[in-house]
Amino acid sequence: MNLTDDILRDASRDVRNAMLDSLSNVDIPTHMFSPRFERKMRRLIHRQKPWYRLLQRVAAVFLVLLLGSGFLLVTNANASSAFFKWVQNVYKNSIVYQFFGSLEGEPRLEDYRPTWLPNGYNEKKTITMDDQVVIEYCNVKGEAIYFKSMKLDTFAQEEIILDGMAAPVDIAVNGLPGKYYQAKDVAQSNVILWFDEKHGAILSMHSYLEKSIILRIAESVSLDDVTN
Amino acid sequence: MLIYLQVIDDPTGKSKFEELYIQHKQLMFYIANKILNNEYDAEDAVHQAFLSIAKNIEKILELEDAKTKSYLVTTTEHCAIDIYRIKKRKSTVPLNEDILGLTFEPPSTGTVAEAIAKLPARYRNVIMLKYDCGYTNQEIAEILDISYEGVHSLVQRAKRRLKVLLEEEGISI
Repeated sequence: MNLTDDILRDASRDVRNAMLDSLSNVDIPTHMFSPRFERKMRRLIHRQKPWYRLLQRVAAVFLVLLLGSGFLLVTNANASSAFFKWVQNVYKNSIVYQFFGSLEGEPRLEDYRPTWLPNGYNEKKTITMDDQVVIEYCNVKGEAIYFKSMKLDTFAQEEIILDGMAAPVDIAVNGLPGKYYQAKDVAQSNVILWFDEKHGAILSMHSYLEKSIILRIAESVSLDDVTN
Repeated sequence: MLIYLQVIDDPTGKSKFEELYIQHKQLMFYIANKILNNEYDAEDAVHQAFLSIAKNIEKILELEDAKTKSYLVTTTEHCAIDIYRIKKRKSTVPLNEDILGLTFEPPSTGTVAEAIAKLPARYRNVIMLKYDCGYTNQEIAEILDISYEGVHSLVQRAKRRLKVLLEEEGISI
């Protein structure tokens, strides 16, 4: 029996039509998506806008030109390495942290975990994707802490929506540079974002808990032995 | 030191991606929820699917095309099954992959199409992406976020399984 490409093509088209006919006969209920989902999709949609993608390319070219021209001659080596790797794009309603450069390591993202949590919080769920891991912790009241680790890659980026947030404050988490966003709106969570360039990861934590507690959780994230 | 680039946020001009999202999110959620039976996980699956679609947006030419819809359905199904597998890894009940995936009225009986419809979802999806949507193995690897070798292997296994199904049904080509 020889299943030729033509046979498979014709048959697949029939399957497609049957599947779509079946779905078109279903009265698909309207689902009210959660605020969490809507936020994630807003960020994703924002990144897909043509002007944003163009801006990414422009920023990349701009950075390459600067590097090529030798324009940046700074005496502070730490500052220059930070400059070459991170660009912060400020928009009307959000800030996007974008990474350009090469990784020094290949982190095992699943090894980034808080080792301290406030009483009553337990791990509820872990979503593992190719370039990021998200862990959700919850208490009995359903109050959540989200911890995310994302692999640094060319054009890797993290976006913070500014609606309801105060201006970011520079912080350090175990000596690593980061930003703290205080929510002005009780419906919004506070955010800590910090960069582990040595291991090649960007880490963030979202929670309604106060700054000192979120910072304590962030500082409990173990960074030892996280490289492949 | 950080560079600050000031850009005026342009509220006009929905992208192709945003149009896809607006038009198809309910369908994709419906499919994911059918498989996962959990709204929280289904939303995660839909988000995952859109992440994949965003990476391959240039492959989508028409928003309302039947092939586009088939691609969205296939991608959502794949992401939902991935999440299903992650959850089931923690369970002691063996995972029966044959019952996973979207169920629908198959095409006319006694045909290759019926046999394809009966394949486990992960085999059916790769066959659909390759032969209906016309993607290369490399493109399918990017869409499903698996290796090129993984796609090749899946296609071969799908064809073998298809032949077994056809022989069992006594269908000759």
